[in-house]
Amino acid sequence: MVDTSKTSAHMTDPAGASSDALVVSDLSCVRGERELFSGVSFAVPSGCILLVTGPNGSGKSSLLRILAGLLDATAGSYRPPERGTFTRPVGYLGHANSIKIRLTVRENLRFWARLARAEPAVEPILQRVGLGRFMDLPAGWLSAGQLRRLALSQLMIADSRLWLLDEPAANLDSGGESVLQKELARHRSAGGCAVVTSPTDIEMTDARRFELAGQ
Amino acid sequence: MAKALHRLANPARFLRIASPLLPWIAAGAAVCSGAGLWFGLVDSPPDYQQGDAARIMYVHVPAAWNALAGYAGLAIASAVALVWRHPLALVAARCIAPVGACFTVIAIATGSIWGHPMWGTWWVWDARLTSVVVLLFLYLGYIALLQAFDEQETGERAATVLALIGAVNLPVIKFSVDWWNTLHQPASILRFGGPSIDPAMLLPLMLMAGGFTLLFAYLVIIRMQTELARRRVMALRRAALAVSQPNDA
Amino acid sequence: MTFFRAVVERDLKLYMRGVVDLIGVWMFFGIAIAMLPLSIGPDPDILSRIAPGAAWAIALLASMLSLERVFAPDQLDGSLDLLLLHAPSPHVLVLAKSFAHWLVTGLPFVVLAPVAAIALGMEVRGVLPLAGALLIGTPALSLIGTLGAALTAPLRRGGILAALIVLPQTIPVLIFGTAAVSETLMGRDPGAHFSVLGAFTLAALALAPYAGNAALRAVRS
Repeated sequence: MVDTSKTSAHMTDPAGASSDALVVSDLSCVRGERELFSGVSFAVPSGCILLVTGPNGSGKSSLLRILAGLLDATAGSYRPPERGTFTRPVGYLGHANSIKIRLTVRENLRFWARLARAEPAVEPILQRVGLGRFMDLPAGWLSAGQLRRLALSQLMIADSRLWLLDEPAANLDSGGESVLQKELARHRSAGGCAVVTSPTDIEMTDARRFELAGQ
Repeated sequence: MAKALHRLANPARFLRIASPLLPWIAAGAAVCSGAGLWFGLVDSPPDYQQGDAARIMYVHVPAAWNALAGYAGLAIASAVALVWRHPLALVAARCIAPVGACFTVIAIATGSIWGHPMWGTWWVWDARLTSVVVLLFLYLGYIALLQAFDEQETGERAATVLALIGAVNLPVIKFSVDWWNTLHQPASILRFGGPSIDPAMLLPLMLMAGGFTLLFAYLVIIRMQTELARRRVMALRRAALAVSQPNDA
Repeated sequence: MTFFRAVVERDLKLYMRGVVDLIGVWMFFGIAIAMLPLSIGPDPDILSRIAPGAAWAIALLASMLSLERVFAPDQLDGSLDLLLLHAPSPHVLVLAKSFAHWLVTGLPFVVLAPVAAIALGMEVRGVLPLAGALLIGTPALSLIGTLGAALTAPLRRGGILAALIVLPQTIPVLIFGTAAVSETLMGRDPGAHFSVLGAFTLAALALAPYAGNAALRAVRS
């Protein structure tokens, strides 16, 4: 039997020893009878962003869901970060925006803020992502890009050490992308780290890269 | 891919063991049922109260036993699948369900036919029959949930949980229905088992029960063989696809 | 506890923003009750005899109508993932979801069903036992219903399937809930039936969080 798995790991700067917030070793994921990836290993130190790229169906989303604890890996292990100076260890921004269109923008964020015990931060964060003017509109009125900004604000308010972002730039305009970049920079300078997926190699200053080759 | 194919290794061992056994199981089912039918229909006395109509018992009772035993099998397979994540157990569970449902339908139909001369009506909400109807709904719910998902694996996992919920609740449901029945009508009309049964009736009943059980096992194993073969085909197709279209990375 | 309250309050708010659906559930109950005399005939003897059972059975059916609003929307828009991430344990989420569902489709029938039963001709002394039986029994319906909702969460039209797989599991509630009322009306002591009903609900309360967690894990992908 030939092992046809072609998952490859390209890491730039494989240093980062003791300060590693997230350590992933030999992770593999089988969905149905299909193996998405295997032998995935990497480490993400504090203050670092890891950009995971790969073609459609290569398992980027599944990898993030495994790291978030939403999915069981078929094999391998990962060590999620301690929460450190943050409120929570892991935050997740998935494909879907987790937004209720029947609630207002403010109500949407306030709910997640309440779960994260960070209610006072709701309005400043909405200002930061550029939704200040829309706070009391129903979320159903927002455009796709604005919904993505609201989803991002959910992640920001939870104050997690490790951010897991599944194609966060989807639907974002250039303004939205710069908000995303700015927030990521802010997060890493606060000692946080992030794993970001993208179907293509996007511009991201000073980020490590990891490629899921798919099969 | 390698791991995906590797997971078939265990089922392959099952096939190696089960396939040679299959003709013997079939023969056993035929011999037991044949002998049971001969003793039951020809060489046993008619029931002193119910006459020849009671002979349908030789089909009804084994079918009902197997329907219930089938659900127990379904629950055990589901528990094994959930706890040890054994892929063969998932296959077994999904293959038991339709067979069990068929035996349940046979039990309901023969119960109704048996009841007709006595009750003067095709259906009475008797505790035993009602329980079997509920059992049928449990089977059908399991099958419906199993088939509802696009991804076969997800459907199997969901149905596994449902089977176990049903298995925990089934004794409670049975107790409730029995109790409900004593509340609303004095006693069950259909009676069998216990010391009242004539030994001449017991022999064919046991033969038929054995025959039906073997038939049940035969059908389940055949279905499992088919299901495993289908999975193999899918895996090979996927492997062929991977070879013919080498990825661009 | 913060999590439990936050989820319950949010779910209630969402139920209320889509209150038309809820009114639909309550109206279904009313219309189905009204159908009984129309189909069976207005004979007061028959109607009064079936009144408690009919009220129970139809309340049970009506509460199944809204099952696809328990988990499916959260699964669809991704909220379920975040809820699970924020939950102190998945069991709390299952309990919160059940409780919110019970508040909108269990509790209302504690009031509506006795009214309907009276309209069908049940004696007035059956009101308290009926309301009591519903109060004790309907939480079990929501708990078991939540399991069905969890198992069908990713399905586009999972509501009917959820009802289909849940209804057989609720038979004990129906049997003992109805019996508690009819025993009272026949002048017998219904204490035992209330006890069995309560025991069933407590067992559901104890087991449903675990089964719900297993169900959510099973359909996650």
